[in-house]
Amino acid sequence: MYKNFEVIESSLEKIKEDIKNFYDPSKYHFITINAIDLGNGKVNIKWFFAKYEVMDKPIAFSVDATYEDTIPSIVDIIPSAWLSEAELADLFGLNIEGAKKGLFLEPDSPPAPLRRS
Amino acid sequence: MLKMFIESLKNLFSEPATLPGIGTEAPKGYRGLIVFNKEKCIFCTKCELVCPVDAIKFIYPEDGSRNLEFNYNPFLCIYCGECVRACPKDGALIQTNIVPEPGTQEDNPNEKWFEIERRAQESKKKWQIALAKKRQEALKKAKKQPPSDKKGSKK
Amino acid sequence: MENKMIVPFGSQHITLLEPVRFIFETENEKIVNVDVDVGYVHRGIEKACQTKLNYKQVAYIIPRICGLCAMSHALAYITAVEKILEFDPPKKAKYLRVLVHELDRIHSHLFAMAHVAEAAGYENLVMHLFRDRELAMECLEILTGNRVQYDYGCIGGVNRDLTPEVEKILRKKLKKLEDRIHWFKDLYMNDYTLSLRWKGIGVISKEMAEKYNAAGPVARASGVRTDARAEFDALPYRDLGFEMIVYKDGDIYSRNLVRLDEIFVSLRIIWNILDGLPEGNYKEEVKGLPKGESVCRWEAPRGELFMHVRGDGKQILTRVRVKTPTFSNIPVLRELFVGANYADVPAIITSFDPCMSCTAR
Repeated sequence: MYKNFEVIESSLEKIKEDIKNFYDPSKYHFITINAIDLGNGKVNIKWFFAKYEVMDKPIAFSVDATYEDTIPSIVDIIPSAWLSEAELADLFGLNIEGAKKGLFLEPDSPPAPLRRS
Repeated sequence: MLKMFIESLKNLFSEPATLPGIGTEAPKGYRGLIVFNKEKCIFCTKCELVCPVDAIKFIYPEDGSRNLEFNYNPFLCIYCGECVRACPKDGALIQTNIVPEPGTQEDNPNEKWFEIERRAQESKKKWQIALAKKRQEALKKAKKQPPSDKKGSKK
Repeated sequence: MENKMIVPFGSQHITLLEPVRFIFETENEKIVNVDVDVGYVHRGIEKACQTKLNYKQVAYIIPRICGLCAMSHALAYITAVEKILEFDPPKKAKYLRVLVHELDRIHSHLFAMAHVAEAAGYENLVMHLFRDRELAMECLEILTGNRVQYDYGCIGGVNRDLTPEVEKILRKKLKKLEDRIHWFKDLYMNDYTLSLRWKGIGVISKEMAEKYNAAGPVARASGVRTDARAEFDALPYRDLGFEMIVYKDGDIYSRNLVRLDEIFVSLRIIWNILDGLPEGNYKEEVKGLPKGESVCRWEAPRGELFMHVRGDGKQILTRVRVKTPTFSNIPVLRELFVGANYADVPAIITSFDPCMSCTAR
């Protein structure tokens, strides 16, 4: 299923702690957060990291959630994550703590365009 | 700074880098207008299927035959050349190095093309019904005369 | 408090190249707070790739995200799909992909350098850079058939072979270009107008670049050793004499020098390819439907491009995610403005070489 990256399964409660224990700014490069709509109101969220200067597989933390769940924000661990979180909050309509809405979409555009109904 | 000054002075007297504007030709391998050759086409509609932007539309004849009408919108085309590569018959679709001209109001590119899209969709439905009828008739004939070989169009 | 003034910058501004909006809170000339809005050009390309187009057509739509790094987008997507299909492209195709990708990098870097020079008010240099960028564009036009949208890569290899007569023209033009780049290097090192305007302005320290995960030339100018060409095994860069360019100062000047030196590295790679292009097919048939998930990290001219593709065994993919380089650089750009002079803002923004049509997609 996962062809060229390593996946660490986690859960909504644990994810923040896991990333805190894992992330070292001088060693790892935070890439982005991505969500995949699995249908039936379920969504899979992945946090991607890669090592600096070493040819190695990227690492992803994976969490399964629903659209009703509140997803913890990692901005206090990785300050640059706010933009990725804002994008997911806009395009998927996810409830991410403290994420600003309306950054990627215009006020009159349809809400959560990447959701599959 | 002195270097830049000298270079700029040199440029004053050298040949201009810009092109004269009129008569500039596209190089040999330029991906320009797509040209259709009806005599060679076998109407497999592969080009219509692979086109990422639906710039090729076939209008189907009403009688269920394979004599389709090719329609191409140069204003919608992104000149990727995928249709030419998908074409199974050499020379039916060619990518020339003619630089496409921009669409103007006289060309009326939008309304014309919407009309073609609508007609293509409708004619395909009709054509499919006609084809189904044709096949049924062919089947009936085949049942009546079992020794004769296969008839009717295949898809 | 009453000294503070709010100055909007964008979405349309004379020194801005792309639609992005900053709202600066300034105290005299110093900026104390910044707010940013990036979504002016959201076109829904990801949505189109997931609903309307099949996975082979997506390879021709994805490059339309951005004109300047079209080849990076296309190749990153193609690599990600090939990884899902577990297909290894022929060696010759890989080399040709590197060739077009590096030519793309050259013209994009020259473009970025020209804009930085323009923001510094050095019009003469702008004209020179743009004129010589034309050489790289012409090379690409002869090789791929178009100046901007190359459509060169496809799932299974590349669409065109390198013919001997094209190679001859490429060699001639690249030789000329190389001479010109040497001249630019000399100018950049010695011209004191450039150093006056650029040295010590917009400094990003190494810690800051790491903390905010900067990417591409911006990170490398600050001493962070990151380059997706050395970190992701998609193309044979190791065999082609790739070298990572790292500067330590982190100001606008060193960002320019990183770009300039990367052009030399790109030219060296291109010469190596032209001299030692392997024999064989340039395209192979790929069969099967993508089922699985893969990622691709790709060094676009502006930094790290990231693709995440998931297919569920259908013609249409479930998810195509594009993370573009400027998307990574927006957070560090926002932090950098705090404490900077308002007059330096145009130079700082252009030195990041932002691409908003990539960011919003």
